[in-house]
Amino acid sequence: MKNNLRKNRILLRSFFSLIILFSIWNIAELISGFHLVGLFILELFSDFGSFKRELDVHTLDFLFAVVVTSIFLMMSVLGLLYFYVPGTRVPILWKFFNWSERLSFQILLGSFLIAALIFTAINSPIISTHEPNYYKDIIVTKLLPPGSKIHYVERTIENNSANKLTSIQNLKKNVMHQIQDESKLFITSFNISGDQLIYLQGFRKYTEPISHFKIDGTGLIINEKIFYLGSDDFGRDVFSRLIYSTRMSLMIGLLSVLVSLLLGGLIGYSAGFYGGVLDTILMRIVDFFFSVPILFLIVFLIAMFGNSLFLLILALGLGGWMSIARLARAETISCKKKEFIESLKLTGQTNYKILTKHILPNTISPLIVALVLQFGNVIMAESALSFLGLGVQPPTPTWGSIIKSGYDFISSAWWLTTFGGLAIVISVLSFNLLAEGMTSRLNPTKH
Amino acid sequence: MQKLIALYALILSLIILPSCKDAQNPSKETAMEPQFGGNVTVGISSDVDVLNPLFSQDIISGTINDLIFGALNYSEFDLEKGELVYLPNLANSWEISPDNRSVKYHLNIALRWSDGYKFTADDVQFSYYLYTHPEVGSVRQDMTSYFISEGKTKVEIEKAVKVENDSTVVFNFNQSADDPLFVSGLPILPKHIFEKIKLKDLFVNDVNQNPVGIGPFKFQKWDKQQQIILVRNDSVNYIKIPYLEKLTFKILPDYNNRINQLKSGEIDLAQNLRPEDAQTIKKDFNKLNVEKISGRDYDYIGWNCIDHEQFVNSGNKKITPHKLFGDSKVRQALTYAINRKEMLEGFFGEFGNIAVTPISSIFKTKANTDLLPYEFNPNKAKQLLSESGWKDSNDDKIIDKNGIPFKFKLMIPAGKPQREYAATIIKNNLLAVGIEVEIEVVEPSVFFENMFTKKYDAWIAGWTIPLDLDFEGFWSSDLEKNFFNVTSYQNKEVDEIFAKLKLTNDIEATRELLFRFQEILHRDQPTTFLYWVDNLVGYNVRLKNLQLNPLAFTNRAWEWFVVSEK
Amino acid sequence: MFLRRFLRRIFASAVMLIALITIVFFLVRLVPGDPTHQYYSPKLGSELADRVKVQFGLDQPVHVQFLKWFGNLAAGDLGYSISFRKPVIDVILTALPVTLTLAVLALIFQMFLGILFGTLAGANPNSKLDNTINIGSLVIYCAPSFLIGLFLIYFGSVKLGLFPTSHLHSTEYEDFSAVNQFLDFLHHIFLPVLTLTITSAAFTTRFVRESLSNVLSQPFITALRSTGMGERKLVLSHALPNSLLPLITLLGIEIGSLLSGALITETIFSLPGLGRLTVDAIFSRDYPLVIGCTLISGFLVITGNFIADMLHAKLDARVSFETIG
Repeated sequence: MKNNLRKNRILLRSFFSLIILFSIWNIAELISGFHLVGLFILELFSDFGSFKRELDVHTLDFLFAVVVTSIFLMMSVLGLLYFYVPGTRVPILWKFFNWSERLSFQILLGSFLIAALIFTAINSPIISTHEPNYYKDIIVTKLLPPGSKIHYVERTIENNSANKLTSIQNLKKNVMHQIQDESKLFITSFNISGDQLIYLQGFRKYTEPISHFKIDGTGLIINEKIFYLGSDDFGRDVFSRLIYSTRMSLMIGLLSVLVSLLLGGLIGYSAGFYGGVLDTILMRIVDFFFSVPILFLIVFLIAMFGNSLFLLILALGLGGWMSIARLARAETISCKKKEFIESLKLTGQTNYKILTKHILPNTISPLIVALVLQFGNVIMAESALSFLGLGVQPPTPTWGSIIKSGYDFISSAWWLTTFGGLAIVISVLSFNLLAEGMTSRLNPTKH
Repeated sequence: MQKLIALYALILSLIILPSCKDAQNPSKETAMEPQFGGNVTVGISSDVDVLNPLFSQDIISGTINDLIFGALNYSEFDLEKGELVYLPNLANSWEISPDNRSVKYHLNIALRWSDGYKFTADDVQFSYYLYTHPEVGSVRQDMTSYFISEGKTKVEIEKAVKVENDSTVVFNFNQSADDPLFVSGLPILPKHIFEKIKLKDLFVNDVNQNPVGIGPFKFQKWDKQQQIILVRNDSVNYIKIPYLEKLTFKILPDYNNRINQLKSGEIDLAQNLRPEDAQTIKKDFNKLNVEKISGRDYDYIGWNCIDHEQFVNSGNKKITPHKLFGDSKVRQALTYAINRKEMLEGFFGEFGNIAVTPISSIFKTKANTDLLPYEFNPNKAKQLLSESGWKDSNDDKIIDKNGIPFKFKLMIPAGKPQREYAATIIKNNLLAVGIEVEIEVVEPSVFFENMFTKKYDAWIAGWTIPLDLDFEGFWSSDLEKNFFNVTSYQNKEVDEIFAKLKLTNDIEATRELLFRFQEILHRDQPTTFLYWVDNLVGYNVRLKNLQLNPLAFTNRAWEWFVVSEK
Repeated sequence: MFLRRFLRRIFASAVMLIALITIVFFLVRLVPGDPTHQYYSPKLGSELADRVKVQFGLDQPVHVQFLKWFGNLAAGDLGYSISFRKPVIDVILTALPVTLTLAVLALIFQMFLGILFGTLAGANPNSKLDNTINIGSLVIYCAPSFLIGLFLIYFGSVKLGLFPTSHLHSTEYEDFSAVNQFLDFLHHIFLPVLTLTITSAAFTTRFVRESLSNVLSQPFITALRSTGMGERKLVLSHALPNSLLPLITLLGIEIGSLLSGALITETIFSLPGLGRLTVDAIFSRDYPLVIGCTLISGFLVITGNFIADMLHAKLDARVSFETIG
């Protein structure tokens, strides 16, 4: 037990440290983010029209990420302070930490990994280095191995002084990743002779006067872009795509697990509670769905109704409700046999009240465990569908589709499969760890 | 699934006929002395449907059928002349009447079917009886219109394909055929086998899996989804006895498998290589070589020219211009806004060409080379769009007109990576001029149903162009009759051109008309022609005398030979 | 008692199968798309497609087709596949052996490996071995099967060139001697079977480990242990048989997941199995073939469940009796 406590503390501390490190790493973006928030608040009172125009989905997304990161940062600082400076205990946090320290290592690790996934999903705009669908000059940036550095120069944009950028637009352009940026010019190699820039793009050679590009005192500015985890067949940054994929996976996972819970819960509870013919019929339906291979069912549904995100979620939810229903039924039946339920019945409580007030709270824990497990399965199933080309529509990044392109280029681009696969394994693993930890907590007899 | 895509892409070409002389090759190769013997394995992407020319639909079964079954003449696409040429095959010689309404064939009756039966003129007549009989439901039925006797509704086979004696057959057409040799060039089937089967049972008969023919190769074995084995037909002197002992078609649906097996030498030839693989193979594998077949397939973006809802609601009657793509200026702008060069370079590398019109440059005399592709020019696109009223009036970065924002769904059929590639680029390109595109990848069956019923606003698909360059089905205004006119493009002048083309046999006049046709399409841009896809064929250099051409990669396969590796 | 349950289950299974067929039969025709699209041509329009529909009886009302289909089923006739132009039964019979070989081999190996590692881990709780097996199996369990397949292809075929990446035979298969034919077959099927085995063995390992440690903590084991029985004998002849019981139920369900898993494996390794055939049939709207495939795979899964259920009922009575004694 002591050993466990120590392991948990290390885990907590490293989690906090990682978040602080991450924030320091991105400190410039955070500060600009707050600057942007300030500018927007000013704009709100001065020019509502431009406020509305500038505050589009991407900006909101970015600002939200900035705020969430700061909250995480604050919590982590307080958390570390709690460990090292005893006087700074915030009562609520202190309680939380104490409680979490006593959880099993498995639960803690699982939930931290999941927290990290959620953190990644929310903060994708900050963590990623590029817009996930950004690409330019494919011929130069296509299928680069991890760590590749590519030179680029920036074109000076033709003088359209008519629409000068406002401070908000300027700041946005600097801190947020752009889907399109025509000014950047990626080059394989270059050579400056006199006032001409001779550059190579793939097998093509071009010559252009240097004055077309941004220059400073020492001459032409040559920038470098690093593809941390390489690039895909469109020259898109794999790292950023992996980060953004987290959003899709978590969202699909969450929603389809909800579908499973609703359907499975409804059927399971009513079968268990009312019993009799209803029970038999409902359980036959469950058996029926169990006997249909899920993947075929999904292929079928998608062929039938077309491929949309809504349908994908529904289909994945439909694939997993049966075990929830069985579990709910079994738990309800065993709960129903308990004495206090019998006595409640005698006192004339309504069925609805008994079910919601007494049976539900007593049976929900194993269901939650099953749902967490289901979450991992859904992530896996979604990636399989994406891999078969039946998943989320391109160019939305998903892990499955990244692996799919890795399969297409298996002999030349190992990084696509490897990193995409790693992301899937880690996220499925975190849900499984949590579920396992919770199971052993529920059944303490087990090891 | 792959098979299905292949089918759709190839719907049009009546590919039974193999192919043509290759001008590019072989100074070195001719020095090699051909030797008999050896096995060659070809990797193909999907299993064939049936081995019976009556019913075979996909291109690869057409190719294999051509090796098993012979036709009266042997057609090749002459790359130098840019047109089809014909060589003697089951017939030693022929005479065409001056009005193009009949052909007399003198058969080579020394030939024997692969089961030993004699080949006679009756086989020819019986084959055409099957092709044209409605109860058989042959996929080659579109030839029937040439054979229907005047004033009748049915084909009178005795008149249409007249047997003069065992070695002479005369084809009589009811109208002047554009190319009588093409029409009379269907594969010949063995009467002694087919006459035993009831016509209405033919479509699922065992004989579809066990072909007996007269061709350079004999059918030996077909393991479903695995391989098809052909062996040399050395019983009689068919054009020439093949050098190869055995020709195996190995079915490898997975692309990576095909490439790996090509590299490891398990297969000797594979088609449709990805450009980047073609490049690495050229560079790093000196035992492999890559050649390309160009000019048959192109991909395009279809813009629906008419308002679909109104059209369907009025019982396919009411034609109103599409609210986004009805204006040819908008379509021109879209073409200007799309960076086709980036698509080509990104996906195809050094292979492929930008497409301008539906006639490729391999049709040397008929392609209008004066027409230049629209260059990539977003500014010009913006200007054209604002000229036709599309401006960003509410500052949401999306252009609009009369309150309708310029947003649409771009549909693509699943399975062709190059189209997904193009779509992704198009999405970004159009965003730059203020147009929002949502890409939707659709399963092919659903895609083609909706495309043919004109339900999509915009989509990417491809065509294989017909060798007779008969485009009437694709571009003439009658939407009821020509549902292959998928963009619902209507232009009176184009209709007139088609009418005139039917009446003339003059080469010069035909060329003039086709040039004008291309000009009009180029001006109106009912589709944005994207690129011509090169079929990249990779093969092991031990395989010699390969003569690729636009009709088939197995052109003159009897001249292939292998040199043993040392 | 047992007989009654047996008959009831048979009846339920049959009803389920018929329900499955009926639903699929009508659903598949509601799906947009048409099996005869490929027969459209610019010159003939849809004329030919219509004729093909008549040939395959697709022009009749759906319920008439349905009744006809059931009538023919009694005679063992599943109709004709549109894309293959062959009897459906022939098409399925060429694909079924591939999937069955894959599934049966994978089932045997994964049971063997799963029980082996599960026992090793479960019998030595919290040892180093246990932890290694536990973590290893968890990580593998969390990897999708296509990922494992891809890595096997990458290392086994692309990098080392040891194994072929597709098919069941070499091209020269015919010329080999019987022994070589068998070896050739093993050589080809190794990677696909390994892919299927690895994924499901991880699950079985975890299952056996869990179940064994449960049994080991039960009072009768403690009682036996106090008699001075050797640990090895205790585990192998008393704990293990009891812990394998739930595995039998699992076996039934496993057949379904093996069929699904086979789909992915068949796709990656381009094997002509039932999974790929079914999906291809759905995509090309080959209605008779879709129904045929549904019938066969539904039959396999439902029978699998049924057998597992019966076996469990039979064994359960015996084992629990022994335990008490």
